[in-house]
Amino acid sequence: MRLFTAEDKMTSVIRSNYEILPVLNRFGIRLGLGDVTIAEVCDTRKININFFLIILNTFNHEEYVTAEVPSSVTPGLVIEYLRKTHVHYLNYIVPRLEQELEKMISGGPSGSPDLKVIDTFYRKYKKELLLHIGDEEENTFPYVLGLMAGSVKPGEGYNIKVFEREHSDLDTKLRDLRNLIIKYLRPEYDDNDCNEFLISLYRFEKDLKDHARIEDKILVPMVQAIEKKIAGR
Amino acid sequence: MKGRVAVITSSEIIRRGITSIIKSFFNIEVIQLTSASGLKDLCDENESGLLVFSHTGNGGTPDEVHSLGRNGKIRIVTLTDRNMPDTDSSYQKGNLHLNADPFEVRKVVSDFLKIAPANSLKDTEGKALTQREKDVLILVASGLSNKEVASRLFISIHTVISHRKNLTEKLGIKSASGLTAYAIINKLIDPS
Repeated sequence: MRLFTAEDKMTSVIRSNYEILPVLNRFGIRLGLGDVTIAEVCDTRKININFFLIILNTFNHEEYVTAEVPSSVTPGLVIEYLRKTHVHYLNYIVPRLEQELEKMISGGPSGSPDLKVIDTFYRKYKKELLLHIGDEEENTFPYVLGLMAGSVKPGEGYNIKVFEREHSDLDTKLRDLRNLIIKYLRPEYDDNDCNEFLISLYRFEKDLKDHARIEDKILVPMVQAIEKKIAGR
Repeated sequence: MKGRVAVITSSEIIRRGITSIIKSFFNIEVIQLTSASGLKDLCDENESGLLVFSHTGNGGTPDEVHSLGRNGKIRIVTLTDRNMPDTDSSYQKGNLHLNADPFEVRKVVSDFLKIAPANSLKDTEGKALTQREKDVLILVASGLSNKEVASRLFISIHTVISHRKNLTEKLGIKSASGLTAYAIINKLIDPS
């Protein structure tokens, strides 16, 4: 997939990868786009185009890291986007995953111990995910915003270094969940129900990885640079 | 991992092309360099050997690369578009033709690293668990920490970690709660 630039049409962005649709929504972009370009839509919607392009290209390319983040892209912008992502997870993706799993389980023999194991595993995972999101909302983001506003000193009550560790754990569990289903769970369910759940899991896994990449490769280095600058004063 | 792989050429097309071919077969990092400077540092810090794909505009490999090759730690593959004597292989005597099939590149890399390509790396996946691995699995699945498992089985914590690693590779499941779910589904432990 190629990298997008300001002159590309919005339709080509969607055609090249329809999984990006929710990402556009997080910027308030909705369909009925006609033939507008990325630059035009950003102009109308007052979106920082540099940031928008970074997000689009990071989503499509795991390896993509901009050589230099333009100064107009602030930690505040990144956090605003990450928060919208959280809302999307909490209000849509997680409830939907749950509905799909329930459907899959209720389609199997009632009281199946194996399906119950999957259900328990998912519930545990969800609890950890919510804790992680809550921690970012309540500790990480306020710390970064406080740093920017000058009301918090580097390392005060929080340290951006502790932030990166938890992602991989959440990642591992999602992968375990889908391997359990693909490899070991006896197929006592309706195939279509299971397929839907699995496909949603794969999608979520990909979105979460993108989310983690934005945090680890864009936000964390930004904050580290700010911490260093303040400490050097 | 028995060594590393680097690609040296000023041509971005060739550099990224080779890198992408290698990465499609192996789950390894490929060091991309635009020139031979910097290669020496790479050799010095690298004990285990280095495979270098090198290409300069006129087909040769710079002398400085060759002189590094003589110390035995690095193997050089010169990428060339010159015709080679008729054989089945586009790889001979350290020269790889630019028209070579991607599988030739794969062979060069896997011969050097003495590892199988990534798609067969998971050979261990699906292999039966040893009795010891089963013991560890059952204890971990019952909620014991690695340390507790170690003292229960009279083995070191390193041994436990190594068994856990094998379990992950064989089963495709890494987390303790995932192993618990696996053990219940396979009736190795009681759900209660």
